[in-house]
This record gives sequence, structure tokens and C-alpha cells, in this order.
Amino acid sequence: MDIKSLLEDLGGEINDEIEAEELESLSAEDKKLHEVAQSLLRLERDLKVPGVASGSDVRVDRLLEEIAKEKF
Amino acid sequence: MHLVRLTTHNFRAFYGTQAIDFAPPGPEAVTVIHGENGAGKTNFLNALFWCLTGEFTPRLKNPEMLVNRAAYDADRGAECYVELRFRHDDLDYQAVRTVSGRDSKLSVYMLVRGAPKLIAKPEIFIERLVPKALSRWFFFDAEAIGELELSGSERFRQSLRRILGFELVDTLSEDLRRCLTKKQGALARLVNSKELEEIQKKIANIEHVLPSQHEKSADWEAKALRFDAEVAGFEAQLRALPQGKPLQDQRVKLTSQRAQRVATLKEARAALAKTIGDAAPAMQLFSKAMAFEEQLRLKENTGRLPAPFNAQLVEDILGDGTCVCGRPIEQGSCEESMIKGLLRSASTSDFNARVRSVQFAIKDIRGANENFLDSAKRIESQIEAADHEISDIDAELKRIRTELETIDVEAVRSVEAQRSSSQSKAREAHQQHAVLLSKIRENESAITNLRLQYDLQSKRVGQGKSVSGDIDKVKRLIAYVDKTLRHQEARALTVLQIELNKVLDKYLTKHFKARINAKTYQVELLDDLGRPVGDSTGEGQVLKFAFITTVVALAGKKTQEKINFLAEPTLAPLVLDAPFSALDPEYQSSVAQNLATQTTQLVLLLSSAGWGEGVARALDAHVGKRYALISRQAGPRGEKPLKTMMLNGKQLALNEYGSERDESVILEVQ
Repeated sequence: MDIKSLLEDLGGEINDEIEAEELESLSAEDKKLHEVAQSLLRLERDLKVPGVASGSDVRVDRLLEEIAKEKF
Repeated sequence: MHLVRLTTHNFRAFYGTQAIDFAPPGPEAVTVIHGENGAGKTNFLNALFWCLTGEFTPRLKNPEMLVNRAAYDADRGAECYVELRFRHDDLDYQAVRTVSGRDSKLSVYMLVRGAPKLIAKPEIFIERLVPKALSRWFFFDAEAIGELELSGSERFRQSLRRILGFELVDTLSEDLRRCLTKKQGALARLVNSKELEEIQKKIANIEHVLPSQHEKSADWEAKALRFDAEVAGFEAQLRALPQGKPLQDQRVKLTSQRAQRVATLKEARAALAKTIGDAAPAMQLFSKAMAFEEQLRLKENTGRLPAPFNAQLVEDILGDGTCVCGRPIEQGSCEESMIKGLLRSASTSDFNARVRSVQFAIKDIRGANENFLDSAKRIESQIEAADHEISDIDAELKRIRTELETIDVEAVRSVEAQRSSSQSKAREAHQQHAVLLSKIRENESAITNLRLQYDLQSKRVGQGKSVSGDIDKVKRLIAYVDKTLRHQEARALTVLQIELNKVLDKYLTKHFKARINAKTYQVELLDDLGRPVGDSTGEGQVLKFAFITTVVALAGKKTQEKINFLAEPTLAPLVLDAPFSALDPEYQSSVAQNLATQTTQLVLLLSSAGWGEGVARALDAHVGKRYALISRQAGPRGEKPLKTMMLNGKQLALNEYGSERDESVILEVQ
């Protein structure tokens, strides 16, 4: 394996570790934003389930309800 | 999702009911289906593709003829369907698509302990598992690999984003912007500001039209690609006709020359624009600078600027109290006051330096102006030459078209007419796509400006506290989601590029690397000096296979779990028709090996030519199921060749004559 590939591989592994550390090292505000964003994504996923997908107006209202509930 | 069993009933070349069980995921997850040209490999791929999507791969001939000819002749009401058993999330399903008049009908059942339970809205259910837009990535007519564009079209980028699971985050980001618009509208009403309301209305209007513009643009792009593929198909047909080949070959050569000239023209126009931009300040200053230079020269000629004496000399004279002519200068005399007066116009080294720098600046302006004229002249002559060459090529292409349209061979004339029609459709589709893209860009830029205007205006009028609090929350969320999305998108592309290069490192004989453009997703192959390698080279084809396999494998192995937002990648088996025929022999076995080891389930449709020694060696250990498509002909054999192949140590005849009907028969090879 040449040095470039080795570095790229290493780069991939280091990136994973960096990401885990990044999540740990988020500021309190960013941690909260991350949590809210993930809960909104879950809501978005439920609202987009094929067959029962909601229109954009409904999605916007539900998202605004969720955002209003959260304190950040 | 993984495939379990496919059953066809009177579908195309497959008479009656025939079935294939697929090798399940595991160490032997490859199903190989052997068949010679015309034995039904593309029909088989399309049975799968049609069952799931209701559509066909672009190269399938006569897609309207679905019911098997012999079955139809025997019974005009003959039934035709394809049934697919598959597993998804540890549950069994059965999809059945039946020909219904001119259309088809899909039913999907969940199999609970073997008992079928009908799923409502089956098309939507299948769309969730394998979105139609992505299905061509998983069910692939590999003879058309050359047509696969890795050039970063919007459609390609969208498909890749969907496979990598970013679609949901994109939707959230868009919806959050709608939330912002709604809240800002509420604020405008609350503070009763007509200006804010006006801006808000404009934003809402643009937000309303943008999604449909994006959709239409994607539609036109897809149409353009489809028509381009049709044109390529007709051109291939022309090349296959002896009378069409020379003219078509000439057309290919001219088209490539035209593309080069158009690129030159584009570059020259860009260079001219840059030259004009760079020279614009100098050109504007030129006339004024020339007048100023003239003034300077006059003053110099009359000895007024710079003065013929310098300040130091005057100070020395005053200090010594002696004039240069030797006469004494008395303090308080009128001579002394005259000499002191000279200090006002005497030269200093600073002043001289300033005059010199002005003279140099004027020289630069003149130089830039003269250079601009020279460069502009040179570039303009390049543009003119390229324009001429393009119109000459166009005239030649027109002549070829006319010749093909009027040639004394019906087959050539007919194919050319179809090619021309597809080409004009392609041209129109490309134009419409370009128009929509330009409108989208215009609207996106307008919306950014309007948001800035809104922010400025809202600061002026003051804000309602609770609404502005909500607006601030939404804004912070948008910023966070966008930042995280960008970060994770970059990571996903990095992972993809690393995986892709691992494959290329292992299998390419040359030291080439792939690079993915983070903005457009364009995938380029670069040589060891970093220069782009053409798509049509053997290595370019390997890149395309490697790319498809890597993307499917990444989705399959959920490698992007590393991308820890909420990415939901698409998981599906890879089904490839004639995968190795487009490849250089030196790369066939490495690509085969890569396909077998990277995918969770693989179905390969191969002719005996595609099953060379290297491919067999690479795949043998991974093959779980093996079938042959036997082509049976009703007529006598006569002089026709009998095609055979050795499989598992047995000689197998791939075509038979004197049968009851023309048909393709699926035979399991033990």
C-alpha cells in the first residue's frame, strides 16, 4: 500500500474519532440544537411516510409546534 | 431489500410460468444467469424492473409487446404477469404486476406466516423501498454503462443524495425556511408594517414556485438524458448498418471536433470577458491619464516641474549666505527673501519620487491599454476562427444528415429519421432545462436579497417579542442544520471517494485516482499527474462500474452510519445485465471480483463471451445459484450454429432448434 492510500485510510479512521469527539465537545447550545434538530428530523420522517405523507403546510405547522415547545 | 424468487408468466420471451430463486445474501450471494444474445437476458432484467417500477430500461426493444407472442396467438386474453418475492426488514413480501389492457396493475402483499396480506397503495410502498429515480442504479443494463453520466448533472446529484440518505435533511432544511417565512409574515402583521408584509409576500411567492421549478427542471433534465440515450441508441443502430456506418463514423468525428471547438469558443469568450474586466479601470483612466501626462511633460519642458533647483541647494545658499555666483546675501535683504521664496517651488527628493511614481502609473495605464488591445484582438480572432470552424462543421453535419435521410436504403433512412426526431426533442429538453435553471438561480438570489431586506427593515420597525423569539429559534436551527448538513455531506463524499479509490487502487493497472467534486458531485478520473482521463477509456469504464458498486455497497453496508444525522440510505440488490461486455478484457476479472465482494446480493446476466476464464475464477467462489437461459427456435437448425458452454464440468447447449415455439426457457444449472 502506498503512503497516500495509507494516509487516506488513516484519515478515514481519524475522521470517525474526530466526529465522536466533536459531538462530545459541542457547546451546550449546539448540543441542544443537535437534539432538537434530530427530533425534528424524526417528526419530518413520520410526516413523509409514503402513503400518509402530509403536505408542506401541515409539516410547517407541526414543526413550528415542536419548535415552540422546545426551550433553547 | 433482497430478492427471493422471480416468477414470470407469459412475459415477453418467457412462455408459460417460469421461475428463478435468487442466491440469498451471504458468502455465496451471487446469482449468475447465462444466456447468449437474444436469449432473454434483457427481458429478464426488465421483468424485475417492470415488476417494481412499471417501467423499462431504455434499451429494451418494443416495450409495448409484453404478452408472450405464442401465448397471445393461442389465446388473445392470455394472462401476463411477473411476481417477485423479496425480504425487507426481516419481513417477506410478494409484488405482482399484471398487464391490464395498455397499462399494468401492481399488487403487493406482506406474507405473514405464508398468508398474503394486501398492502394498500402498493406503488407508494415500493417507492419507499426502491425509489423510482434510483431504481436504474440497482437494476442496470450494463451495455449502456457508457451512457452513465458521472458529470455532476442535477439529476445525478439528487439521486446520489437520495442513495446516501440526505433527502430527509434537505426537506427539513426547506421546511424550516418555510417556518421562518410563516413566522416573519406573522411578525409583519403584528407590527403592522406594510413594507415587511410586502417583502414577506414576495418571499412566500418565490418559495411557493421554487419547488415546482426544481421539479420541472429535474423532469426536463431527465427527458434530455432520455432523448440523448435514444439518439445514442439510433446512432449505434446506424453504425451497425454497413451503408450507415461510414457516415455515422464521420458524424461522430465531427461531433467530437465540434465539442472541442465549442469548448475553445467558451474558453475564449471567458478569456475576453476577463481581459475586458481586468483592463476596464485602465481603459477608463486612459484618456484622462494621457491628458495629465501631457500637462506633466509641458511643465517639465518649461522647467517648472520638477523645478530645476532643489530645496537642499536653496537651504545651503541661505546657510552659507553666498549665492551660486559668489555674491554675498545679506540677512533681511530682498535677495534673501526672493531666495527663500524659491523654497516653495524647489524640488525635494520626496516630491521627485512622487512625480516619478505618477509617471510610472501613467506608463502602466498606457501599457495595460495597449496590451488589452493586443490581447483582445488576438482573442477575438480566436473566437472568429472557432465560430467559422463550428459553422463549417455544422454545414458538414447537415450534409451528412441529408445524405442519411435520402440514402437509397430504407433501414438507414428510417433510423436516421428517428434519430433526427429524438435529437430535436433532446435539444428542446436541454433548452427548457437551461431556462428553468436560470429562473431558479434568479429566484434563489432574489430570495437571499429579500431576506436581507427583511432583516434590515425589521430592525427599523422593531419586533414583537414572542414572535421574534420564535424567529430567532428557527434561524438558529436553520443555521445549525445547514452547517451540520454541509459537514456530513462532505464526510459522506470523502468516505465515498476513499472507498472508490481503494477499489481503483486494487484493480486498475495504472496509478489513477478518482476525485468527487463536493459541489456538483461530478466524479472524475485523474492520471498520476492530476490530469483528467477521458470517460470513454477502458479505465473510465472501470470507474463507472467501481462507482456504481461502491455506492450500492456503501448503502448496503450502511457505512454511512458514520454519518450520524438521520441518513436513511436505500438498500437494494444489484442486478446487472451484460456487465463485462463494455470492459477491456484486462479489467473484467477485477471488476467481477469487486462486484461480488462489495455487494450484499448480486445478480449477473452474462453471455458466454462475458464468462471468460478470469471472470469465472473471480466469481466461482461467490456463486450461490446458477441458471441458463436456453433459446428455443421453432424452425429447423439448418446451417445455424449450435452454441454451447462448459458449466460445472458439463457441456450445455444454449440454443435448440425444432421446438414447438420460439421461446426462452430458464434452466437451473446444478
